[in-house]
Amino acid sequence: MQALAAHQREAVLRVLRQLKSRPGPLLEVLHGVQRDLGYIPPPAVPLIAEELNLSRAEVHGVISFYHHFRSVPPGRHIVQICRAESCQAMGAERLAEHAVRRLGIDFEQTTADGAVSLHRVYCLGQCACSPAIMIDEEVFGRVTPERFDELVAEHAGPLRGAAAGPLRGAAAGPLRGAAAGPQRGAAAGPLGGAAAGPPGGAAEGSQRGAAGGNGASK
Amino acid sequence: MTTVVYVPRDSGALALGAESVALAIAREAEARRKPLTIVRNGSRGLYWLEPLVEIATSAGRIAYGPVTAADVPGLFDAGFLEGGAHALRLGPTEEIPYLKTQQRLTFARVGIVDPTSLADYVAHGGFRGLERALALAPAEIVQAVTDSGLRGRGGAAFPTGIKWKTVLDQPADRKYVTCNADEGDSGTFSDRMLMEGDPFTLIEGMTIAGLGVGAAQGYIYLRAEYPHAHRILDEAIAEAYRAGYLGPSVRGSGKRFDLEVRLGAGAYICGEETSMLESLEGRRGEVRVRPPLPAVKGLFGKPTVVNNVISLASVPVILERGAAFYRDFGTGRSRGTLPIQLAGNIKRGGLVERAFGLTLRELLYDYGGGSASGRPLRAVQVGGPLGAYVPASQFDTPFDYEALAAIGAMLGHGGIVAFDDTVDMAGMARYAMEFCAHESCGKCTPCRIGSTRGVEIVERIMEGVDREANLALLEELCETMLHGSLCALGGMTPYPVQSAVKHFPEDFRRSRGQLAAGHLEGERR
Repeated sequence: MQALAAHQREAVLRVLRQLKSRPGPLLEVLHGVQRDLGYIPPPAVPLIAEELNLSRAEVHGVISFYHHFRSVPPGRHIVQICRAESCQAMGAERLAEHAVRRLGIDFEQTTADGAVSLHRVYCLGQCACSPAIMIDEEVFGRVTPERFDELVAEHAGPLRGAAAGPLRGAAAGPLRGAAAGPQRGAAAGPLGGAAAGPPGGAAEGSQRGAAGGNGASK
Repeated sequence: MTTVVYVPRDSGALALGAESVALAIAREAEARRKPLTIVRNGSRGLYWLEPLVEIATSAGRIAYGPVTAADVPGLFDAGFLEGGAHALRLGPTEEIPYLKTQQRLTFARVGIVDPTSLADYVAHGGFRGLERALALAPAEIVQAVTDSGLRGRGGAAFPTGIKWKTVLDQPADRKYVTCNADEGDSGTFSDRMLMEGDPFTLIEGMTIAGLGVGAAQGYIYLRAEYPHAHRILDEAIAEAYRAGYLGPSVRGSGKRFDLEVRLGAGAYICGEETSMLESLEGRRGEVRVRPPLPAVKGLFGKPTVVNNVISLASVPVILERGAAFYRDFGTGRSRGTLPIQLAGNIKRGGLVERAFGLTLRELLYDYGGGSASGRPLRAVQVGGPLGAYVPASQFDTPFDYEALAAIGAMLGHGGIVAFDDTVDMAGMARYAMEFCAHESCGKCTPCRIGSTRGVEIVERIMEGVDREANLALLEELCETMLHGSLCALGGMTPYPVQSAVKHFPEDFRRSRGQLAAGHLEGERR
């Protein structure tokens, strides 16, 4: 495991200083770290464990339990598509297929240019205006495939060539494999500096992506 | 006098463009030198009309909707600031039939007040319940809630007053009041609307609960998917502290009540009360074995009230108007009013608060206006992802706890998700198992393993592999999950599955050719 970059270590310690004396602080601390760094770098786990007098296994166990927590840097924008019943009743599955085709990635993956991470979510509480999506912290209702393209372009810039790629076919293929590592690492540059794309983290990313349905995070 | 214009900041309205409408109105007003004040209220819950813009006139509030930013110059031209005629004019808001026929007790202020203005809250009757509670003994507060007949609105429907009495009767150095705001059921959004539209009602309800059971600390466990509600709650809590409604001496009573929001992290299971407590303590949200009940040994091992947002937000009106007032609404053992949420494939989706007793048909057609797609409604799922699918032949069932239980369904958190006739019920049964597998905490085997096996069995049935034997196996698996799971996730996932098999057997016995044709039909929508 690579060491934490200096600025990351500082950020983690700052969050710990603010929150460690509160009752049951671990989730609060993890939220704080993810808010400041975009994800929870695996080398932060021992530091958090020591400061909170927990075992590393306990901290890792909590991170891996909750879909919200990430151990790899996300894309610059996070697109979440609701897959729950109400949205399904209004065409969410077609929207999801469209998004996969348009972005050229599967759910729980990040585009090669690091612009967009695509996640499934189970309910955004917008069930009277299904199907709903969330881009970063903004929600959108009654999203058609056309509206999806507009919204993503508005928030994350124009979509690149992947659109023509077949569904989960060749276009998506290379992303899942070895190529995903360096791409993710490079894309994460602005977020976490040089240390943000450790090979370990990237490998975990592609494993999580490949797990698809059940192991996927929100 | 400057005109007051209401443009909701409810996230549902924002999801449909309310922010750009508010900006366009502000810009246009400035360009035309028309002084006005824009209040960012909650939503009235008429989502097919959002963004719903209201103007305060001498004849009451006049509604226009659904408004887009492009409509704004035209609205000014039509004199909408004086309530002028326009194609989008809906007339006085309170006269819109969908709203006029409702009985809003818990949602009395939602969509009307400025959610983070304490002065507005008080001006609309806020904190009267708390003032009354401060004059009562704890046991009297609890008795009032018991007498009101209020049952837990989160889904389990346990009598709220009985739960509070258990906590009150526990000798302990510390007790807690926790609010379950992990509203994860698809088709439900009443918690969100209330927190975004009238957060002080929840704060007041929790403070009354603290006074009633002798707890000085409250936590709102809010799902991470609700960032708008989070911001609004934090603003409202800060206001309440500033004005002395929270803190070391609530309204100078000498009684302490502190309150804060704790964020969940995207785990559906944390809506289960013991799992939520684990999560609040900073651990994996694994279900606890009961007994002991949380009311005896809950958060940090102390007696704890765990109530849903709507249960707690119904308490102020009970204290203010009296238990009998609330109890007089409703029917049988379902007392009071219920905020019902119409969702999915429905023309007029939104929030309907009424006394218990309406039928599903009245809700789906009189309020909901039928399907959004214009096709016949085929099924509704009541009570979230663990609720049964109800076929059209049972739409005359009254929407109350006992009547739904009698047909093998449950009311849950009051959400209704409508599906038209393109739905593939075998696919929905598979999804129910998939969702359980995705969200299982892993502590008990029937849920953790059973759900994955369930997905596989439904898939085999859909593919026509050994169909009758697999249907029998699915039934057996469902019974095992039902009786052998630790909590409602594994224990109730069989409901949607079994109800789909029971009411829509044809969907599980289609040939592949028929399936493909059905899929194509769905594509044409």
